[in-house]
Amino acid sequence: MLLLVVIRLGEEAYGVPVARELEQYRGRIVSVGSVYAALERLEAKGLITSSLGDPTPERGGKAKRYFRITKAGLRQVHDTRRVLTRLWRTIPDFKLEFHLEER
Amino acid sequence: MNNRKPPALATWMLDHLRSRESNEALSGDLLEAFRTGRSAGWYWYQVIAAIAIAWGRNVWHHRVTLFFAVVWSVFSPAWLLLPVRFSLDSLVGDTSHIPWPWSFICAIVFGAVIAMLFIWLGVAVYSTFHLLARGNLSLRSVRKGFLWGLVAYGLAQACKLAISIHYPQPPSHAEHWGSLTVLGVIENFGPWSTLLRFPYFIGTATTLWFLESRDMPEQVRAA
Repeated sequence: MLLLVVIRLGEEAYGVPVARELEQYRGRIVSVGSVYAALERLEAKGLITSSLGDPTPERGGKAKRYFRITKAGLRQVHDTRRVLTRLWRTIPDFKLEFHLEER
Repeated sequence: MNNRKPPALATWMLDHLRSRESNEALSGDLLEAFRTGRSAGWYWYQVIAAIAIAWGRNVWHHRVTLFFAVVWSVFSPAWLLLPVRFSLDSLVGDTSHIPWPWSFICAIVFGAVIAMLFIWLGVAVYSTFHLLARGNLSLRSVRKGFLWGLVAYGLAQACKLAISIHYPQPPSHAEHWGSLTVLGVIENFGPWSTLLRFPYFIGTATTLWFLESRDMPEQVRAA
């Protein structure tokens, strides 16, 4: 999900917009600290890279940390999508309807 | 975007209770979001969550160190028993003939030397199997580890003393402890023995924590 958000935001993928997008899609408050922790884990795995922007006065002279997807990250997103699609196809429609009714 | 200021205490906590490397981007993000209309409650939630996450990651990174410190501190009552068994405390630790305040200072120094010897014996054992094998020890980290270990041990000892004053040890327990064998005191996990181990655990864990911080991966240190 985080990788998709980073791809979607493109050049503007830094802490605030990433957390805002996640909040929008998940419908609850997201901790910016946990977003950074997850992004740093992805960076350690080589799926994204980060770079510091210029400090701005609106942010109290603090720089933004921009995140970009790597080739390995893109490959990972495609692989995950393929696996999920294949898995979805194996689940018959009546089972999904049954679980929805139960809710 | 407006120019309102976030809660000062929360900002101070964010700046001082996390390491500085990746703090800049995070604190800038929080300030930017706050100035675009987020509430002070939201800001506090973000700061507390960020500190908790950073400390959680730090503790997880040092899990082997902390486990070793727990195991090593189990032996501390036996170490304290050794000077008694070899009558060292009456030779060096008996300060009754020295006038105040030197008697008090001597007692503290004697206690600190005994504690530091125990802690650094633990460091030597741990280093043999862990730090030295990975080539991570430097003179700077040893110096830092020694100083912070001593400070942490002193603070923990003061806490232990405060607890002991509020909840005095029953005299029967003290007599029982004195008559135990080395193995007996190691096997004793009563509340008083646990309290006795507490400063040794804190001292050992802090020393090893600072010795190890040099070899932390950048991502973890940045947290």
